[in-house]
Amino acid sequence: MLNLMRSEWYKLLRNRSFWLLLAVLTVSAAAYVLLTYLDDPDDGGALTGATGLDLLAAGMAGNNYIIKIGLCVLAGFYISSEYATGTIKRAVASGHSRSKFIVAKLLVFILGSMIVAVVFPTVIFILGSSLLGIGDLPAGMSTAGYVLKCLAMTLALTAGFAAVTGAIATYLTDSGKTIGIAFVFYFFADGLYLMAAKFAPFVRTLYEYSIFNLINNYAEQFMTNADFARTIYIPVLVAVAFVGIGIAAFRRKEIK
Amino acid sequence: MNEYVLRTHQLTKQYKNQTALDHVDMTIRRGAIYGFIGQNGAGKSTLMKLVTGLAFPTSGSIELFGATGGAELVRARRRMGVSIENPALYPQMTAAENLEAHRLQQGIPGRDSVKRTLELTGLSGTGRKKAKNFSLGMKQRLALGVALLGQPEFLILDEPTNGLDPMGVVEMRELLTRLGREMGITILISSHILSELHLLATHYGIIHKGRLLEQLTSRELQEKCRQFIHIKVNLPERAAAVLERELATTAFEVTADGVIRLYAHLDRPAAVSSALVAAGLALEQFMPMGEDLESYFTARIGGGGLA
Repeated sequence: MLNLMRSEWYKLLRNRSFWLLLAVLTVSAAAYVLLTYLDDPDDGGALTGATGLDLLAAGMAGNNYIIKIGLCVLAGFYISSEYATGTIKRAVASGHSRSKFIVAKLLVFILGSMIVAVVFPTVIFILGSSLLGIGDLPAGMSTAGYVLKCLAMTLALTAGFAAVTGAIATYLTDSGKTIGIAFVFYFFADGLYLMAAKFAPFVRTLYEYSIFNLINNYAEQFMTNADFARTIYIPVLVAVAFVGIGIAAFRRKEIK
Repeated sequence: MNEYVLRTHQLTKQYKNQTALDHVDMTIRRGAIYGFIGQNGAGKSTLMKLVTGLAFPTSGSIELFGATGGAELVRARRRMGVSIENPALYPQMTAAENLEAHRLQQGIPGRDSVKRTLELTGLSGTGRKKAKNFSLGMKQRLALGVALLGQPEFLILDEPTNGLDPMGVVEMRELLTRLGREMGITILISSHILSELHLLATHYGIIHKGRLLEQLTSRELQEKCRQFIHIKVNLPERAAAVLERELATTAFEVTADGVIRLYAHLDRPAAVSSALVAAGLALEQFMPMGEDLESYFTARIGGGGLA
């Protein structure tokens, strides 16, 4: 299992889309901070009151889309492309069980996704705080605690979304299909949930506890401990469930 | 030590209404170079996919190094090296990186194995060139290198000479011969170039429409390939009459282009040529010949040859 993980990590580090995503997100985050910093209040600028913490909150909200879209791209080029290149064949024929192979693949994908997901808020917060100051939170709130909570929620939600995307990629086997279908699914998931809730009210409760709803609210500064805990354990459970679904799908899959 | 590397028992694979493999009993002995021959769609790749675990049999069983199922069979696959259909490579990686990814996956100790494999396959000079920019021949060699990395006891190669130029085909044959005969690696190889396979294989399996028609050794093949005297004369009809009258044989055939294939008197070529010349015929061609693998295969599947 460790050998498989090492091999997958080696492949991830040589995956061009992984580095492209990291580069684009780093540049975008830096540009966002610099534009805010350079926004002249005497020339109609509107972002004068921004601090590192304000930018972090804004970055977290924007990261919602990065987690969904970025992971679709990474899944397409890291997981599904193995089918297109045929390299999945030699992995399956290598004498490792299919379950171990796909677990290693999905775990490294989740890890890579987490790295991608923390880049934007991290760069925004560090660069923003350096240029504009960290800023203050309401009385009684610890800055370090808030930042760590943000980081923990980002990682947990990314794990949840990455596992769902990874399972889709494992099943679909085609990078184009994976990117397209996962993207459309994430784009319409909220609407579909809410539409279904009109006919079956329990779906609304399901939605409220789903990763799709949790990610819409995770940038909230005033979050109760219960909400925070929910934003951690639900995505983790989703991740575990979808890694299991990925295993089940891969074990039955015939490689063409 | 198990005498057999691979045995399949009544192995069958069905895709919806199509039977890709039909109760195949294949046996590959340790140290054999097994040439697997069949038309496109005959079932060669399907069998290889079942053996390598890429697909699942509808019925029947696979015995690999004595392991017959479950985790035992999966573990036995660690003793194999595989290259099925197109060369399976990471296009963005160099040759060395492709090998390194596989080395890590298989837990092969020491990076020297990567260097040795690059040298063995003639790819040590490729440097930072990415696999996507390789010629098909280089890709084939790299795929073989990946298959060889863990020093496998059993190699499964599906069309490894596809895309190779004539020199590349010769080099590949020499490499496989060395692997098989000097290093004792058992090889299951399919190829459309039957003349090459003939120079390499020690055993053959002929598959047609999902059924394994025959398995034979190269010696048995030699015995089965019919020997004849190839005769070309100015008047073939008259020559045929001479053969019947003077040599008292009807064991010959006259082909459409007027060539006579004489299956009798193989040990008396001088007597045959003398009889023909004495009858006033001009001998244009006269030589002993034999059927080759291609003609034997074509005859065995009932014409059509390789698609």
